[in-house]
Amino acid sequence: MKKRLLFFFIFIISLSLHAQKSILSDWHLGISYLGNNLWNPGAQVTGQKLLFDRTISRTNRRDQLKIKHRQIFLDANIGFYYDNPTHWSIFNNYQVQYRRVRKKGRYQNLGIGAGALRTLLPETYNVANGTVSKVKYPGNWHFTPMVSIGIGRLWKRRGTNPWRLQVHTMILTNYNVSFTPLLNIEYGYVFGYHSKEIINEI
Amino acid sequence: MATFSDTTLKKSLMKSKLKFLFLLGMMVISSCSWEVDTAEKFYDLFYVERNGAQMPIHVHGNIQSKTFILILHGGPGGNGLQYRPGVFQESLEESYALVYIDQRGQGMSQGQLDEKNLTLDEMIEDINAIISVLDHKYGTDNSLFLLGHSWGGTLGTAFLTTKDNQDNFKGWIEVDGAHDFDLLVKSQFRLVQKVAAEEMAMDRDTDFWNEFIDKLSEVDTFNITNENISELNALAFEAEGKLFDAEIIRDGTADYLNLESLTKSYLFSVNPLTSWMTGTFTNNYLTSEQDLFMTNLESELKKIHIPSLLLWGKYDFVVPAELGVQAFENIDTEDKKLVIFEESGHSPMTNEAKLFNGEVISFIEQYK
Repeated sequence: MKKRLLFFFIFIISLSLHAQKSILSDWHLGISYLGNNLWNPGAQVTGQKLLFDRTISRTNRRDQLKIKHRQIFLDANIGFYYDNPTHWSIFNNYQVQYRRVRKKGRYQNLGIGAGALRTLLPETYNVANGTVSKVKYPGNWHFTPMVSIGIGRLWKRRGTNPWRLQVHTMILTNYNVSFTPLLNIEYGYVFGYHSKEIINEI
Repeated sequence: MATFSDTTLKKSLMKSKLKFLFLLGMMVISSCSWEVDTAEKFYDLFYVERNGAQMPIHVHGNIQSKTFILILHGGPGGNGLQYRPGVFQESLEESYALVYIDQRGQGMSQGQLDEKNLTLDEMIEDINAIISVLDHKYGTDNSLFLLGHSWGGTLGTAFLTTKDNQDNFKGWIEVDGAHDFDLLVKSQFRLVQKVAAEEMAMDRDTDFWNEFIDKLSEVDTFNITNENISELNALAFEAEGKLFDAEIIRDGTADYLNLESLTKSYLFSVNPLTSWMTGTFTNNYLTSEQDLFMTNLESELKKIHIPSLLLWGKYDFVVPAELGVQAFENIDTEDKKLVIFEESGHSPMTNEAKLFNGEVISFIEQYK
């Protein structure tokens, strides 16, 4: 178990370094605390790419120019959580996010996506025909469609951090007789926002 | 001197650090173990994998006693650790090792199940598999006892009366077990009529008791459906609640159930959403596809010949005490005892915890 976790963390770190490098090429790195079903602790690394950005300019009754953005992002997530004490889970998923950016860089977003989740079980014994044997790498793969809803704030000026708070539901398919939902809460930061440029307009 | 922008930046960084520390603290608190292992407070967790299911087995308590109590939870759809807060934790775990099992498709069990591997027969074989792993891990010189509550009573009875399975156990403890659904509905009717008459004479909850009697009257006892059982179960728990309010059923939880006990033994050990969802799906599947509520093991009871302790609540409307009497009359051993708790409903281990544990300990000490 320890070795597998070590490999997993090395994988996350290498992905993070890769994503940081990619900031220059329009990918942006985010990192979040992930609370699976609220209190099971975990973390998530997000790579984010802007796919579509529509600017809406409007003048209000006081002749002030108001600019809003409607954006579509691709979120690529990799993460883990610990469902104490029964198992660990690692996951990778992709989401298309619709985002409405408003005054002072505040936004709301809505997303749908899909991915895969692997549960990692502790010490497990297989019993077949009365023979007991220890299972290597016990756990299960699940296809996981998901939806998310969230709020956040983009980078505005020096000293203000971009943050995001999301609630998302992953549906673990082929789980026992049918499926089971996971309700996750996610709070974190996205670094090097490209929105830094567009936010100056808002 | 710090400039305005430097001060803002420092404040912001300090805020970020505090947030980070808060989140880190949450992670540490929720992932840490709440109990320290000692000889008497041993804890082990492992999974048993068999025919499409992986079932978590929590072993808590005094492993040096060489006496293990395997607990079969109710439902179907419950989980093993729901029995732990306070009751078993405080008293029984000091003396014995308690094995809390999540049955296939329930609690925190995982796997991929279908009509072929989610059956009563598979669950029976799971218990044999768990015994094999316990032997493998802790040796074969242990005394094993089986305790089944409610649906766990059905499963336990089915297990013990299959092949020579009971030879693995020193004793059987059935607690409000539903081993005969036919008698269950008929005895519900008799119990409700009796208690309803007493309650209505006291002018308490007349409308509710009339509704319960009407529902029972509508049931065709020659053709009991899953819907009948589900409806009656809901009313039975409601009835128990009425007697609880009237202080006829005892609130034993005050003695042991507190936040510390709950967090130590349950809240941070079971994922409530996952456990509830998976249990509900499995319950629906077993009752609709497997006709679980048609189970009648009356004729099988005579096959049980190991020492048996039958524990029932007098006001159990879910599985009335008549089933305990039936088991007592049919189990084929002289070493049997029926105890009906006068101030209990479907869960005497919580209503009259001290008396309950006393009976269990004295039974195990006699036959271990």
